[in-house]
Amino acid sequence: MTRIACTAMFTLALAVPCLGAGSEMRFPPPEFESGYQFPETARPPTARPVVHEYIDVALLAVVLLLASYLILQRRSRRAIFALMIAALLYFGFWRDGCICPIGAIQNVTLTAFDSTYAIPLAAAAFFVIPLAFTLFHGRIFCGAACPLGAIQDVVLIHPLRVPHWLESGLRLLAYTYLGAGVLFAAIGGTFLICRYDPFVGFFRMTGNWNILILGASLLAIGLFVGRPYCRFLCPYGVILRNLSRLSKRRVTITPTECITCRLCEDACPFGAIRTPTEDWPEGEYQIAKRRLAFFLVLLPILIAAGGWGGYALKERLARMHPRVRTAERVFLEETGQVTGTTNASDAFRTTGQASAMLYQDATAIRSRFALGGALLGGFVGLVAGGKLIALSVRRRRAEYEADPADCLACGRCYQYCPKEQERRKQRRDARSGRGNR
Amino acid sequence: MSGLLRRVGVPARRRFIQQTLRNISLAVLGLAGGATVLKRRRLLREGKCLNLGICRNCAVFADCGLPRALSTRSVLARRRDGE
Repeated sequence: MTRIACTAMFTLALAVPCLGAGSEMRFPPPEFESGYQFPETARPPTARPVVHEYIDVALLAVVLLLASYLILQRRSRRAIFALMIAALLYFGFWRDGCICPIGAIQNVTLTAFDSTYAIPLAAAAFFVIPLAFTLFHGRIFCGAACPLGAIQDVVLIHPLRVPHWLESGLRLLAYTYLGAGVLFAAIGGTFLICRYDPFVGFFRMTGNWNILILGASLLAIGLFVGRPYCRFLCPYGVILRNLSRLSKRRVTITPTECITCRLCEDACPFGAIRTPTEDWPEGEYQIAKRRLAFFLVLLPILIAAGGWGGYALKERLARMHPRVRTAERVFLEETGQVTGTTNASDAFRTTGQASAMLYQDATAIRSRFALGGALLGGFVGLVAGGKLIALSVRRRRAEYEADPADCLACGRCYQYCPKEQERRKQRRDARSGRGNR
Repeated sequence: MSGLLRRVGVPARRRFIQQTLRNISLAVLGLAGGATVLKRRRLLREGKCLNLGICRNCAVFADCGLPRALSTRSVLARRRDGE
């Protein structure tokens, strides 16, 4: 009951930014061409000191080290939760949710594709450090350091089980989102992942209404479905889940042998507990083999279909680029197909550039989107085919275990494992024994 | 006996593949990180403004009054004047 009351209070507190955004929207934003004169100041506002970014990087490393200890060594859900709240308060509310590894994907992409772009060192470090930790300790970043994960974890009241096939299907969204984020960052249109970050508005106590509504909807879903953004949308989570399969150490539900009590399966709100497998029933093995062969044949077809679909979307994708949109608008204005001007077309004319240059740029961007769209579609087809193949392959398991890719290292299963309780009791007894002596 | 040996061999082979892939991933991360730092240094030597980021292609950058643009323009002006 107390937990529900706390969650309700937290959710109500998160409604504050929505009210703030509403009151902000009552006043029009400043316009560049209204003739407004900025007041003379002795010194222009300066950028944030770089040293703060290094402090953030150091703090991230400390949080991840601590998370590794708490998740893998101490195995304490309470301690993990406390660290998660601290990370939410610092990286989320104090640092306004920026910079985060999720958005850093785009900085890294841009630095790879744009020879004139220099990535801030903090962004590079925020991208690389959690990946390196994942290769050693699994998804501890998701479990204890990510503010986006933490804000969803706090509101989770009554987790419902999502069927495995549906979860696998919905996860395609995250791959598509990652591909789209990389595509737009590479072509230089926009930082899509930052633009549609659903929780940054809550961290900053202000923001675009639509994004705040998206965030509020995800939190509302998150009351019953554990961390929907992390599981079905997070593009960084896609990278982490794949690297996590290679991790050296990972979450183990029980400290000793599994007694197959199934309590951990009920405790996990993310459906990350894999059950022991039985031998193939007679005849089913042959069916499974045929199904696998069919999906292997289907894979290149899916890639080709995805590539064709992505290529067909090239115009729509290109129209999301501000340069292309401006070019289209300027063309319509110059040919007299529309009357009036827009802020973007006025701003373009202020620069004194020739329209021909703008059209040339737009054509080049369109051709880049044609290639990029085909690659993105092919990538989505590859992932969809891979998922079908993965669903038709059965792994042998003798006991209940946390899936290395799906486990978000929240530590809930520790609380429910009788063997873990036994271990804790023994430790407590040993401690009190030492104390009595 | 051979069946048992085959079964024992599977996890060992999987572990070996995982270890190899992990080391390759670490090497890729290290190389990418190193390349990023080198590129940043090169751009710094060339006097590129690192503050520009995503807004550098913005059509209204030259007249923009937002704090980040004001700050960036002052940095660029200082660099141009050789301060």
